[in-house]
Amino acid sequence: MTSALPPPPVIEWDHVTFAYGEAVAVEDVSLTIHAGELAAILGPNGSGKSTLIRLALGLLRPSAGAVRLFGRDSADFADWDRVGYMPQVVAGTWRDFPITVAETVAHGAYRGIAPLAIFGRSDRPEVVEALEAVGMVRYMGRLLSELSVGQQQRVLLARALVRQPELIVLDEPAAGIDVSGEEQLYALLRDFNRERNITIVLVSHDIGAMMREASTLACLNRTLVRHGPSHELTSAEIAMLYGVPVDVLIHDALHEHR
Amino acid sequence: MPSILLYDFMLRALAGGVLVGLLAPTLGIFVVLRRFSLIADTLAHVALMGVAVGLATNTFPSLVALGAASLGAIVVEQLRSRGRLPGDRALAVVLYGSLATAVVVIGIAGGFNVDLFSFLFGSVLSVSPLDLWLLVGITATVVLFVGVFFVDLAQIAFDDDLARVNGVRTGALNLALAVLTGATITLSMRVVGVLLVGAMLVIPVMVGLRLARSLRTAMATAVVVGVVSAIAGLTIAFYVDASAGGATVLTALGLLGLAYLWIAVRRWGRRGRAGSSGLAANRNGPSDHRHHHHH
Repeated sequence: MTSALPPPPVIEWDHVTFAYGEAVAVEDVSLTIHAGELAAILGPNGSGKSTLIRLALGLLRPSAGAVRLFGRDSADFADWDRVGYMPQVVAGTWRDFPITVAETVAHGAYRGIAPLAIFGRSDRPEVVEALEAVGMVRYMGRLLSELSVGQQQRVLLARALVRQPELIVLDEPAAGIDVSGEEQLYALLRDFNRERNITIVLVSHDIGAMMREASTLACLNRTLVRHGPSHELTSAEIAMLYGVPVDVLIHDALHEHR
Repeated sequence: MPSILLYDFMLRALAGGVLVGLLAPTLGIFVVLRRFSLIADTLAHVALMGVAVGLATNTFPSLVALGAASLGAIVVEQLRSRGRLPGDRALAVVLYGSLATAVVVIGIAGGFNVDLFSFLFGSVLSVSPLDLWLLVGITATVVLFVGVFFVDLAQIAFDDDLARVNGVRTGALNLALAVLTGATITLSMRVVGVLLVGAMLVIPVMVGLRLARSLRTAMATAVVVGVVSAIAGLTIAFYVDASAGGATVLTALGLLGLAYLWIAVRRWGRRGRAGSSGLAANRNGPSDHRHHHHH
């Protein structure tokens, strides 16, 4: 396929620095994610990955530099229909929160202040469709708190999907789920990326999985260590990223299995 | 007609109690779900400082308290949202700061008097028509606010960041919620007292959260518990001459106990049934068995 124009940028970090008080979390990062990518931001714990996406979503303001979402400064961004977000799921977060799966997803369809929504129904067609997409439709009437972490993640993914966004941002989506759940989740993301043409940005510390799943990898350790297609990542770069030699053979072996 | 309904002051007391029982849990559910229950106690002590200043300077204590609590709510919310202080420490600073100021002001003004005691422990029997109208006003405001912004408030309680990425105006709503909480506490404490007003925001909500399967029903349950507790508490207070605030909160706690008991009994009953039909069900595996209930 030939195309004259490159895909437009979706998220741009332009010489971004962010510090929590004295502690610099992200330093002079310049990185652009384009439409259609399945991009992974990879790095060890505390490397500033989550900070980077919180900056992109306007949840934090950069100390220096600029962050743009669909070409607009993320602090002024208002077109949230185009963006879905799935935060890290920590076990037990919603233990005391009385909310059903359908209601959780219906929240995602929010489009501005809705008086009388207190009386609204949550089994609307778009909610059912989003739950079908993540294979959770039969849990619609269940309480979110009754589900496992992996199931809760899929519900939150449906919540991000329900407004048919162009971009979905996921923070450590595989944390706290087992290998088969992880494989299902990545299959879903690949499908959203290819079939629905949704740009996916996910944060992870799992090198092997990201080398398999992502089309582009940004390696972060406070500063940007590397950015490019995932299959070009070398063991020297991984060693630089993590500060220790990492056995890439494991991941090559996984490659051959596919 | 029962003798409790023959006195004007008692009718006003009942009206005040019912309004507090309705009002406090309606806001309280969002406070509790955001794990910010301590804000109620904190703002109650800020309001107490307002009362002390009002009494000492001979200005309207209720209005000074209302101003102080609103201002306190804004300060606490700013500290919380900017992450300057971990939530509970910010609250501790404001709570003890206000309480210490109140105590000092009271000392300078010449010690405790009956009026202050009525604020500390509530004096539902001296609820004035003005108090009642103020309560009606704040109740109408809160019901309208929660009605219009229910989904927004639910999203904020669920996850603040997710709400923001969904386009919810979290900053303005959190501030409004804090200020309304301050006003609710100030006006409710006339009825149940500084020391117990927090209980009315938290305990009925705990009953609702235990029993309900949705936020709406949790809120409705909490309001019913709040109103029933207020009526029962006042009735008990009237006939056995006890503290109305204390009796109200004890009734709410009794209902919380009943909710836990009900859940325990239900769970025990379900296990009993599962045990007797266990052999047949286990052939298909326990998870199949569970799905049958939901289809």
